[in-house]
Amino acid sequence: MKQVDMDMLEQLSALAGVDIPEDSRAGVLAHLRVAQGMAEKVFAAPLPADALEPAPVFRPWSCSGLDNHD
Amino acid sequence: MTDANLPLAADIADAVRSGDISAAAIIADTLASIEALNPTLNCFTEVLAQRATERAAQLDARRAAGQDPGPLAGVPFAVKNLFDIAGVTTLAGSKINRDNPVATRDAVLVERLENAGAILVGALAMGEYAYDFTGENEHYGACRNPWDPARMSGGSSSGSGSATAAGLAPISLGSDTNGSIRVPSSLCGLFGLKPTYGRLPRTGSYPFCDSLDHLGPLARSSADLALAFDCLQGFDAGDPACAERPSLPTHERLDLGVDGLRCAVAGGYFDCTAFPEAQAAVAQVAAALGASRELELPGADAGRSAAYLVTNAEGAALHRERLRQRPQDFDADTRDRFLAGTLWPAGWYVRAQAVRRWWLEQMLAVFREVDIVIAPATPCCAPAVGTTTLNVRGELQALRPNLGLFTQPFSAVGLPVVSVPLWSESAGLPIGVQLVAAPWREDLCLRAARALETAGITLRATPPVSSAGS
Repeated sequence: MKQVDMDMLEQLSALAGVDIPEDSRAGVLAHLRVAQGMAEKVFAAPLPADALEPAPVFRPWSCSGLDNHD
Repeated sequence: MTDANLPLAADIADAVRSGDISAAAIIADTLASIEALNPTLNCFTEVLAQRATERAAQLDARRAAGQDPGPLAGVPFAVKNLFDIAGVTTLAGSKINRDNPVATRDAVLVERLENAGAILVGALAMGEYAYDFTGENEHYGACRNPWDPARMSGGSSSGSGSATAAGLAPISLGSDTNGSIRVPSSLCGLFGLKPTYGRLPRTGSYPFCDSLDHLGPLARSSADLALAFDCLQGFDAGDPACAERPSLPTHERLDLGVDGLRCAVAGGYFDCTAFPEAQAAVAQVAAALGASRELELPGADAGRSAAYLVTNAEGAALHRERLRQRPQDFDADTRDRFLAGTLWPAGWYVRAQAVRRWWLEQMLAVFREVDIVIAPATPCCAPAVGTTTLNVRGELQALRPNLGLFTQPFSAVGLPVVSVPLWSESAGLPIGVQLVAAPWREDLCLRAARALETAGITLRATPPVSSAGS
């Protein structure tokens, strides 16, 4: 991934319809970069091909083997 | 540290039930202690003197009439100010919510504790919109640690940690999205329970991140924690995430001991060689529970990252209109993090949800061989108020997110965890250790906590700022 910069921040905020106050720009950029590092980690995780659920909803009780622990 | 012990919830309930003391006297003492200590600790945002006094009188009348006053008879409790309290505005630690109307009814968990005889004495401080691990709050000031008021209480259930440690509420309720019960429990020297995701209903509480929000109790003993947990359980249709499962009695199982329980230490991501206070605490617990095996848990780092992305994406979506309309009314750091969360690609969020499932499958495999996983709760004891950085394995990083470094991977997949308090000789402060079990097995976490308490491993002292000295 290309590291997010101020120009990208402007484009993303326009796309999202959110104004970034001038005094927040540096802080938002710093947090976005932390998130980008987190995103790199989740994409690096060796998930099996069928790991994606049809919808991004977390249902812990639907995981296999869960009830075996009662 | 003093040797004087504050009364536990179980002791108070026994005394009130037997008629040795009235609930009215307990509440009067508690209100006086809150008035004396809150200026130092800043842990209460609302004190419900009239309501508590009336409820205490009603309870005493019921007992005098021969009715059962309940298992928590006369026990004062308080709740993080994201729980609805009838007649009070639910602040959720924010300035913005001050403009909201007052709640018209109590949160379900408040009702359940009161139905068990406990008496609500107030609403407690918290980090803004629960997005905090420090206990600092730009709008209401820092909540202080009773072990040293110059230090952080931890957050975001900061008031819960501070008030319960100081003896102002033997039981408190908090919320834990990424560690917000376990971090203040660690820093304030308490037992804290984050139950399995879906165990306790969140009906009538202000949300942060629906996929990860849990509610739970903090207390000064494992027995008080179990007593409260047993009273809190039960399905409620008002929370779509609440699982329809039978209640799990834990108090009656507390003394079953740990013989036969397979305990192991979390290594890899959870290695705390670089954090000597945490390392010493984990070693003590591991030795006491006979845990010689170390687990690598290779998915933990990605699991933590997933929690970070899910939390901020959902939290930012929740607050989007407030971020657009009133950005100046947020705590600056909360605002900047939420604003960042409005911007990132949906694909990050979807991948993070998939990683959570993958990481949970790894943990379920672990629990086929192990009953309790032992891990540090926080990397360090309570930092001084105002501290902004933490040395994370040689790299100076922001303190605020990293106090939850070790709690986040487990809440990411909804596992039940009890944080137990130990004493750090080197720091002269408390520090917590997490006991993690398979989904729905809170009883095992509590049993292990009880065994550590009985063996004298956990902290049972009274902090310098407490109702014992007020």
